[in-house]
Amino acid sequence: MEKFNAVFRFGITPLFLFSGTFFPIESLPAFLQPIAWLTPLYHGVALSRGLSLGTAAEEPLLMLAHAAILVAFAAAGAAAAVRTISARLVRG
Amino acid sequence: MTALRLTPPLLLGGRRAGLMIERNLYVYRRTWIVIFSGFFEPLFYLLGIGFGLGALIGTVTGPGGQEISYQLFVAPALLASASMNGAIMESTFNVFFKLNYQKTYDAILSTPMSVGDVALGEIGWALIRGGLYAVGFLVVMALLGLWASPWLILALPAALLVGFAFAAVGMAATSFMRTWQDFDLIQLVILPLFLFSATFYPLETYPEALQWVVRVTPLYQGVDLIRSLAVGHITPVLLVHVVYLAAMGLIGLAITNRRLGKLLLK
Repeated sequence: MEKFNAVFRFGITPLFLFSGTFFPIESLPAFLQPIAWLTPLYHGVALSRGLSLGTAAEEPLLMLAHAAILVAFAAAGAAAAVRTISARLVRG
Repeated sequence: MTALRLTPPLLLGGRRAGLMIERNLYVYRRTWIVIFSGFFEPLFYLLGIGFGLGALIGTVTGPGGQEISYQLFVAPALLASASMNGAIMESTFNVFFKLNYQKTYDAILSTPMSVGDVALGEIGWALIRGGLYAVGFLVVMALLGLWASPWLILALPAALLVGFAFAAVGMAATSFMRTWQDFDLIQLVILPLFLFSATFYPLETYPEALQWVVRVTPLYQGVDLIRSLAVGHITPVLLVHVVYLAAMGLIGLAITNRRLGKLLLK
């Protein structure tokens, strides 16, 4: 139970607040901006915003990059989940 | 702990509530990091909403009509919300687990401890935990230059009062819970309180009729109380907030006592 708390507190909440959700990541301190690029929610926010505002057409390559990174996260996460769950359920 | 002194005959005593707190201290001695981590939640919100979003907003109208920075506006509300959230977490999920799965209280009641000791002790523990967070948050506010009035020092007892009110009511609600699914109901109450209690924007944003609805909700009492202290806008209305929160806590405590007695001393 407490592990879940930690995931939410140090994972989900900062992602929610600092992924360009409420303010542009350019307002973050310079050293944090590259880190935002490494997190999944930032790409989801940027992609949704580009599509809903119609600005996606102006920078199609950037949008494709956002989409590709999200797909990569999904694929890597799924692969990791299959590995760890089979380790626990099948071989455990 | 005013409740302890004001209400012993009414509430089955509670002379040994300190032992309940001591028990929790022992339990958390190994997992103090869990407690420590709770401090970060309001801090993240202050940085993200206060400073990140606040940079786009500038100033807003605070208590008494003065223009204040958005950071100063939102920080006291985050402190009140954090007190509510911390108290609810401790008094609902943790108490439910101890009550129904760990059977902690069954074991404790086989000693000379009474139901009143358990109720007061658990709420007292939630307050100690909330108090630590409040102190930490106030220190951060001071470091970030959000100390606008000497009255802010009273935000600490105010935050404890918010914690007491919600911990007592939360524990009373928990005594009616049957399954983990029932906890969705608590979230259904807590989340709107967090979002709509004039936490992130002034009360005047609402139409007149809705303002009155918000004015009678519990978290708004805490938000307005701590925000008014933060900017030094002291009016008799603050006393109404204090009485409201104290009454809410005492009623919650009385219900908790009755319910725990029914559940545990069958």
